[in-house]
Amino acid sequence: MTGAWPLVAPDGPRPPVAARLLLSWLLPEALREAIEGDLEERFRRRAAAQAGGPSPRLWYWRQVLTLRYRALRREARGLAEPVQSGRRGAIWASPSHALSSAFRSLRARPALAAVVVLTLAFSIGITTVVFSVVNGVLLRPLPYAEPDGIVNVYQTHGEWLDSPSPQLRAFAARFPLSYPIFEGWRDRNTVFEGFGAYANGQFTYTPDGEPEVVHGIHVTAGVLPALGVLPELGRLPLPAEDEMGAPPVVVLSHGFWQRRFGGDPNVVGRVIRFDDTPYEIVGVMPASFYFPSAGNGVWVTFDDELRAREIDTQFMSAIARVRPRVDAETVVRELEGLQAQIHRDRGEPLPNGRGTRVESRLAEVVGDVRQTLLVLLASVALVLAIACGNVANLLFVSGLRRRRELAVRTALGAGTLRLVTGLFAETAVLVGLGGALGVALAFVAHEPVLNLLPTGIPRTDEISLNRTVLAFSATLTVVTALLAGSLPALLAAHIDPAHGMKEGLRDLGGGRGPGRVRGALVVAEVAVAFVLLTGAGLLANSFWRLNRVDVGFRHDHVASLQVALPAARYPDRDSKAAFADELRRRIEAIGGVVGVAMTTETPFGGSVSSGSAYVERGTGELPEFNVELSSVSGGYYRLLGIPLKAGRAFTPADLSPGRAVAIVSEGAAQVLWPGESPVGKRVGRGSDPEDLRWLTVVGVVSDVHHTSAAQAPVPKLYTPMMLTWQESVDFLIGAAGDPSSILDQARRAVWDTDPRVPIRHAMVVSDAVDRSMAQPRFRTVLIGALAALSGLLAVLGVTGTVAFAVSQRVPEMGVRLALGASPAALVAKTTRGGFALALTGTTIGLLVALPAARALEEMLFGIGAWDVRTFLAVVGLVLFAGAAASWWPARRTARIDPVRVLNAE
Amino acid sequence: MSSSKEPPNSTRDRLGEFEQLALLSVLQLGNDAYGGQILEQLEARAERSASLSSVYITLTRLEKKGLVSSRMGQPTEERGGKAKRFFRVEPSGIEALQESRDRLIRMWTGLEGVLDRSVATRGA
Repeated sequence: MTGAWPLVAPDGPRPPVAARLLLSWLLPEALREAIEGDLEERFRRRAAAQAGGPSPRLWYWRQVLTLRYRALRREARGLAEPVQSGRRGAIWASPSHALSSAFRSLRARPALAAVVVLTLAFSIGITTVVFSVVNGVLLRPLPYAEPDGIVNVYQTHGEWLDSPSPQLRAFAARFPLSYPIFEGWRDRNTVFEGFGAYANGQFTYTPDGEPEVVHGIHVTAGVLPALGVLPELGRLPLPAEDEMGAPPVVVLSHGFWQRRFGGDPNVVGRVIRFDDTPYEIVGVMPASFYFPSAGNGVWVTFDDELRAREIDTQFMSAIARVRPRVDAETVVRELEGLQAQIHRDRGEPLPNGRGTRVESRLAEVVGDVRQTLLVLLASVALVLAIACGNVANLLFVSGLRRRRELAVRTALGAGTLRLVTGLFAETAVLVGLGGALGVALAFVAHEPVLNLLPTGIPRTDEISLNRTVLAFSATLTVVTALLAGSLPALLAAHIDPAHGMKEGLRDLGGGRGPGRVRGALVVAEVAVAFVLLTGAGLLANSFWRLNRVDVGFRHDHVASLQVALPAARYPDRDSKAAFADELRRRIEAIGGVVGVAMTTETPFGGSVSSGSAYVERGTGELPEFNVELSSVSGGYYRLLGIPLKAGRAFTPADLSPGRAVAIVSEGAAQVLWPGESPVGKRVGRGSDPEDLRWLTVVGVVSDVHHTSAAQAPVPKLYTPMMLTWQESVDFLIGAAGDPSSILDQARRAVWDTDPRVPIRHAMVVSDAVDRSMAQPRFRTVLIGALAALSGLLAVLGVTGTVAFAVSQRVPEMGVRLALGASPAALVAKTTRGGFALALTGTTIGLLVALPAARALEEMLFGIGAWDVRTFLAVVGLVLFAGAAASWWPARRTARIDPVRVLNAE
Repeated sequence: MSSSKEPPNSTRDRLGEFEQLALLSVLQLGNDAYGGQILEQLEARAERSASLSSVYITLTRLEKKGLVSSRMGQPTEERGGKAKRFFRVEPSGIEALQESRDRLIRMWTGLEGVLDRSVATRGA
């Protein structure tokens, strides 16, 4: 092989390497070899002469630094490469040579380079950000030892699995454990290495000053060992501490230990009081540990009251580490057998349809966010694919424009391989720049996108642009370069020097190989954009409907304050009522407060209770219904603007112990007493049909959405706020102006009333309603933005193709015009060419979008996945955009001057 | 190429002084005119200090005008494996040089005495 460099290294001194590289980099290709050679020749002569004056190396550097590169490049432009005598270039351009010539070539076409780099930067940037979210939430392992073996264990409730209420169905599918079931499974199973149960708890911690609500988790001794994380200090709870009568112990989270004990290393062994119960601190967990979700303060053992609960009180979740090589089916089979046995041993029948469910811990943690994120990831991949197609197309077209140059280079002996590597190098430079800029963009956009994340998304604190994400982006960039670079390279491989030089670029790219590929690319782009646009259209349509849902109550100008009433301080109804009256008086005295009401659960406040309601039928039957339950005070409906449809609201007289009254929602009235007026009817409450508390219905109110706008109101039963059993009360505060400004004063009113009462939540109700829209908003905004980007790229693709076709057909059009064709007809003909691509793309897109839309089904509200109007709108939009994108460049055909064109021929 | 694009019988740009010197150097060097030698020729015969940049800028411009042509030689060892770019003056280049010379001669005609005198005055 003869190369640009002789095989035998020349003798004697050579100019400084850095200077030579710089020179080679800065010189235009046409003059590079000659000038490099001239300078080297003169350098050697100076070195050989050893004359006085500057050293040859210094001299060489001065020459390199003082050459007038800009002028040389300007003059070299358009200069044909000189014919070389009997010498071919290397068949394979060396990487550094290929890269530097790629840079030079792109410097000559800044507009192309800018469009390509920006397209890639945006696509790679947004892909990186979305991937970082997916990686943090879905892909990163949980912070436990060998997390794949960890499962959540539930019971199932056969009867409620078919309930019309989605919440009840979800509850039935993951029904909690009772303490006896937990003990039975723990002691008799052979499938788990570790097994433990846990239950949420809330404790009031009042070391000094303001009381604090501590979110704690009751855990049995098996829970923390099953997770496989060792404590940072001390030990974990022992099996003996699960026994009746064992003294309560607590393990602190790292955060709680730092915050409350200043990281005191001698904290183990000390005693801490929650709700006036002393707990011995036995350990501290490391900072990275959390369970079951981030932000929990402490883990405490169960107390005797909880351990004594019967088999019909289900209140615990369970976690287990499955033995190696035991599959889920085996686990379920064994646990279901034990379930029946435990019930049998206690002389109680196994309830109908009771079963067992085992689910990986990660699936449990991630929950319903998974679907949204996967759809998002798919959308981003599609956008990247379109960007890839566009870049390939742009490079291809620019390659065609340079076909003549390539043909000349081929004729001069540049092998196909050399051309291909050269073109690939150009693509690699562009994609590399795009990727780098994209990652930079990702760093800038990361924070704003995270702020858009709905609050319900788990593990958001694990989202970061870490090494995994950056490696992903790098891989993505390389793959993009390969995909986008293959088309121009394909073109180069098709170069026929004689053909290229003779014909110029006039009639190329139409029907032949590379041209067909290019048309197919644009069709694919339109199809992909169509799919994304239908997705975005469906989500936007659904979000718009969701936004227009009337939740059934007035939520602006209402604040909610949840106050805990520790049983130790407020043991009975009188003490609670006295506190509530006093607090109500103080809040009402705050300027701007127009009303105060109490409830057990604020709508959209995050908690909901439900239970059974029984209705007497004339036939002696006693059908059972599942209803939502709330206790409310007299002013509740007025404050929230919930209209009374029949009967009356609660009055102070309803609070007297002898009275047993209820108010039902319209939905409940229709379900419980179809076709009848419910006022005056009786409804039974309780879990045992033999021992019900009968309430007389005194009023009917309209339906209210309690948990989200997307979920239809569930039949609801209201009872008067008696303050008998409640351990906390939600105070709803109506404000004349901004409710958030009143919250601070209301907090102070609580502490003025009793400084040892903790405030659990304080919120503006409209914020909570707004938050319930966060996930739909998140996916609508993000997928909408992606769809818009894809649409824009596809339009650019169509426009670019038509513009290029027009530029190629100028002579043909000139002839046609000269022969009397009407300009308008020519414009129409050219437009039709582009529109045909859009039409084909739309058709294919429609075929893909119809099944793909099914993936969105669960995220849609008020419309089906095959919403005809949305599909028609997107078809119309894409075809219109395709027509406009074709017409715009096609107009140029009408302005062709036939005389000039024919002269040029 | 597209010679049709050039308007026929255009008044071709007149050669600048350095262009004339460069063309003359190439002619002086015969078949072996390449960058480094042209530079030396300029320095030696025209006593004119020039740079490699100016030589290539000028000759490239003239090549695009069709006044000179170039070809690449064989790579040689003492040039670090690089070939020389040999320049040759084309007939149109000779024509342009002749035009320049004729123009100068026309302008010189009748002025020899004046210039001699001024030289004499300065010398006195």
